[in-house]
Order: sequence, then structure tokens, then C-alpha cells
Amino acid sequence: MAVYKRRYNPYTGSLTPEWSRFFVLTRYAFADLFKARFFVVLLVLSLVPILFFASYIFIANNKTAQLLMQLRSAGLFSVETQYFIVIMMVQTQAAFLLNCWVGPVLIAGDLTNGAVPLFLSRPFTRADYVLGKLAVLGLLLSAVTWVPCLLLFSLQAGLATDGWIWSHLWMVVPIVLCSAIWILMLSLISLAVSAWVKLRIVATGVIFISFFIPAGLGEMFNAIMSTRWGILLNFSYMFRLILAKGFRERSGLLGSFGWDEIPVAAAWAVLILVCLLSLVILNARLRARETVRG
Amino acid sequence: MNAQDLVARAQKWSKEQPWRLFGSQISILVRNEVRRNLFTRRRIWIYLLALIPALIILTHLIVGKYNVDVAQMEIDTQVLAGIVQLYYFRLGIFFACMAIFTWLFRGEMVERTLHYQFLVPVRREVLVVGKFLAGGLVAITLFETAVFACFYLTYARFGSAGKSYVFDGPGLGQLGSYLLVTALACLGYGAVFLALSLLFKNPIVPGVVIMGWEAIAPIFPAWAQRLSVTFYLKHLCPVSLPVIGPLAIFTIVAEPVSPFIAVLGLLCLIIAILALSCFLIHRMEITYTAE
Repeated sequence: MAVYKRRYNPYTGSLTPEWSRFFVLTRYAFADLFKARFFVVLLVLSLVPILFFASYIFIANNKTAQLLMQLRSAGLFSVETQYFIVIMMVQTQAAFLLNCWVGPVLIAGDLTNGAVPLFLSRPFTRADYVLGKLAVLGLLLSAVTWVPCLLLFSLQAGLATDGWIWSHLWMVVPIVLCSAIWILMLSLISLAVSAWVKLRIVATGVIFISFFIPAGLGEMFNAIMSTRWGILLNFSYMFRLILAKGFRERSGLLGSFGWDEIPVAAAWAVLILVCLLSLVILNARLRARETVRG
Repeated sequence: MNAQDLVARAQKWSKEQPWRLFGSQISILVRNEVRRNLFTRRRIWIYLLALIPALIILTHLIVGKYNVDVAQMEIDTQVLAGIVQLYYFRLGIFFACMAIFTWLFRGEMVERTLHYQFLVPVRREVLVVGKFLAGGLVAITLFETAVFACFYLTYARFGSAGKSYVFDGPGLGQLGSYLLVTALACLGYGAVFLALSLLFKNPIVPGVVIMGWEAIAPIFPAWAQRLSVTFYLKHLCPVSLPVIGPLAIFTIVAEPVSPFIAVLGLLCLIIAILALSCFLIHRMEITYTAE
């Protein structure tokens, strides 16, 4: 067969706009995720509580249903701050479990197979790479936290009378903000762990440990040193504190601590610090080169 | 077939087994595993997990050196009980055993070295027992040292009063109980995680489910509580802690169990789980590509 001399021809097809290049990674990651049956089951299960919460709203706004259920007290079903706090608590825990399953594989696979230098040799920055991976978790966790929460809010707004929406519109801010900080922290911790520990089994364990062990150590620190600042190591509690302050809900959420004992600024500072620490780890681990020892 | 026949067959089977050979194989396995796993860089976080409480108590000892009140000893005894029962049993030993025991087989799978172990002329049951004992030895050494250090540092700050509490009071008995309970916790959780690592490809998620079960077991009936490791450990602890938090109102107080029964019960649970692991290892196939 004759071989003809061929000159280099540049790619002439359409280019992905620079601002949305990170989304290519997200798209492929989602395609991979939805191939796993366990992930789909987990995602569906994490949305099941929303159905119960929606039926609660339906009963709370339907006099006939209440009569059928022979409810004597009309105030038994009320959709106020506590209702949304409960949803947020349940859904953020579901988000945590989803994150533990999805997070560890996002970067580890690329690092193990030496794919990071290949990604970064294209017109694609490290920030784009992290953003692409972060978007996977961000979108996924949003789909189980603030998005269904706002849907329930709009359902209640549609069913309720007497201008419920205007008196409760401020709740949109804590719903979105509290979910945002929790999602950001979870995602960045997962990505950092995924970049640091390449094995999935170990990475899943480390994510769990990074939530449970500091909380235990903090409690112990409080007991030994007779102080209360050890609670800052309990990230879930810090989230609860932000949630309670955001919804101005004084009862139940803060446990044995008083309303003003731990300032909410400290809780925000801790969660932001964890995010920054995760970014430092990602910055150290994600390089367009590879060191081979041996 | 009647019971006498069964006993006779069991005795015959027992006589036919080369127990001496199994013993020497197990001792070699334990030696190799301990050499490979006790002092490695990968284990640093487990040492930290075990020793951080001792470091916090040491800091307290240094900071509060000039502010020692003997009346504080009772509170410190409660704090020590909290450290052992809440931190070590629920978190420290739990996660360390998760790391040590799941790595015994799953780690070999990840590092693609398990086939070497399966190719040597050693029965798979011997492999399970040998690896379990090695993991147990590592965990027990680490956590007994940590608990002993916590105990020593807690009472060292009280000087002669602390010394008399330990040697003339209930202190020495409490230390003995803590050390026994720590060893049993390491073996109990170890057996559970060894079985989980043979049952699941990623045993961390089921491990966390077990953690949840151990936490909520007190609200279940007494017979269900017997299926948790903490049920037996609780009855062996020298200082009991009050149940606080939202679970307190649902807690069902089980009948107190004598220490002998508690130790025996936990040992039976460990043997049952190990027997299950021996059964599971026979079904195990090496698929390195799936890891």
C-alpha cells in the first residue's frame, strides 16, 4: 500500500468554550457514576424522605385529610422552622453518605493511572480540573439537600393561605447558605482525601474517620480540660449551630450548650478553615508531573 | 446417627488433625504479619488514634501542675471511664480495628499479593486464624499501652494520694479491668471486621453500619443487645457511666451479667464470627482486576 506524505492538520471542529471546559469532566464522571447500580439505589433512597416530608405538607394543608385521620389538634401538623430544620438534618446526613460513596473515586483513579498529567497537558488548568470534580459532588449533593428543600418550600407556599410565603421567605437564605457550606466542606474533604489516599477502601474509611474521630477527641478535650472549645472539632455540631442560628431556632439543636456559648462566627471559621486545608492538600497533590520511585 | 456417634467421629477427626503443624504455621504467620504491620509508616495514624488521649492528659498534667486538688480525683476517674468507654470502645479501637483487620486480607488483595499466601501449602482456616491473631496482637499491644498511659497520667498528677488510690484502693482493680476489656474489645471488633473484609469488597460502609448498631443496641431488647460487642464490654467496665442524650429515654437496661459470663459470651461471639470467616475464606476468589 502506498504511504503518502501527510502534513499536520490542526483540529478544525468547534471548540468547547473556555468557561465551560470543566464541565466535560463532570459529564463523564456522572456517566460513570450512573453505571453503578448501587449508586442509583443510594441516590433514590436518599430522596425517599422527601416523599414523606411532602405528604406531611399535604396533610398539614388539607382539612379533609386531617378529619379523615381524626386529628383533634389543628396545630399538630405545622410547617415552620423546625420542619425545615428536620429536613435539612436528614438530607445533609444522606448527602454525607452519598459523598462517602462517590467522593473517594473521583481523583484517586486519575492519580493511580497517571492521568492527571494528560488532563493538564490540554488547555485545561488545575483550577478547571478541581472545579470539574467539585461540580460532580456539588450537583449531586445539591440534588438531595437544598433543591428538594426549596421544592418543599414552594409546595407549602402553593398550598398555604394567608400570605405564608411572604412571612417565611427569609427561610430561603438559611436553606441555601447552610446547604452550600455543608456541600462545599464535604466535597473538598472528599476530593482532598481522594487525592491523598489513592485506594478507595482506605479513602472511604478516612472520610468517615475525619468526621467521627475529631468529634470524639473534642468531647474528650472538653472533659479533661474543663472547657467547651473542643466542640469546634465536631463539624456536624458546627453545622447544627449554623443551622440553629440561621433559622433562629433555640430549642433542641444545641444539646447541652447554651444559645450564645459558641459564637456562630467560630462555627463558620472552622468550616471555612477545613475547606482551605483541603484546598492546600489538593494544591500539593495535583501536579502536572509524576514522581516514580523504585 | 446418635450423639455418641457424633462425639466419636469428632474425636476421631480431632486425632487425625496435625495440630502441631497448624501451631507452627500459625506462629510463623503471626511473626511475619507482626513484622510487616506493627512498625510501618502507614500505621502512624493508628498510633495517633491510640495515643492522642494520653497526650491530652499529659498536657493537662503539665498545665495544671500547680493546681492539684485531691477532691478532683473522683471526677477524673469518671473522665477516665468516659475516655475508655466512649472514645476507645466507640471510636479509637473501633476504627483502628477496622483499619488493621480489614487490611489483613483486603490489603493483600489491593497489593496483589494474596495469591502467594493461597499458593503455599497452608489450610485457609490456618491463614484466617494466623492473621487474626497477628492483628489482635498488634491492636492489643497498641491499645493496652495507650490505656495504661492514660491511667498512669490520670493518677500521677495526684502524687501520693493517687498512689494510695491505685495501690491501696480500687485503682489497681480498675486498671486490670480496663486492660482486660481493651483486649476483648480489640479481639471482638477484630473478628467482626475480619469477617466483613471477607464478605464485602469495600467493608467500610458495612463497618459504619455496625458502628451505628453498636450505638443504638441499648434501645433494643436484651436478646438483641447480646449481638453487640459493647453489651459484653459494658458489664466488665469497673466504672459505669450514666446514659445521656436522646437515646437515654429509649434505653432498655438489660439484666446485669456476671464478669465470667460476659467474658465467656464475648469469646463465644468471637469464635462464632471466626468460624464464619473460616467458612467465607473457602468461597474467596482472587479477582485483582476488580480492586
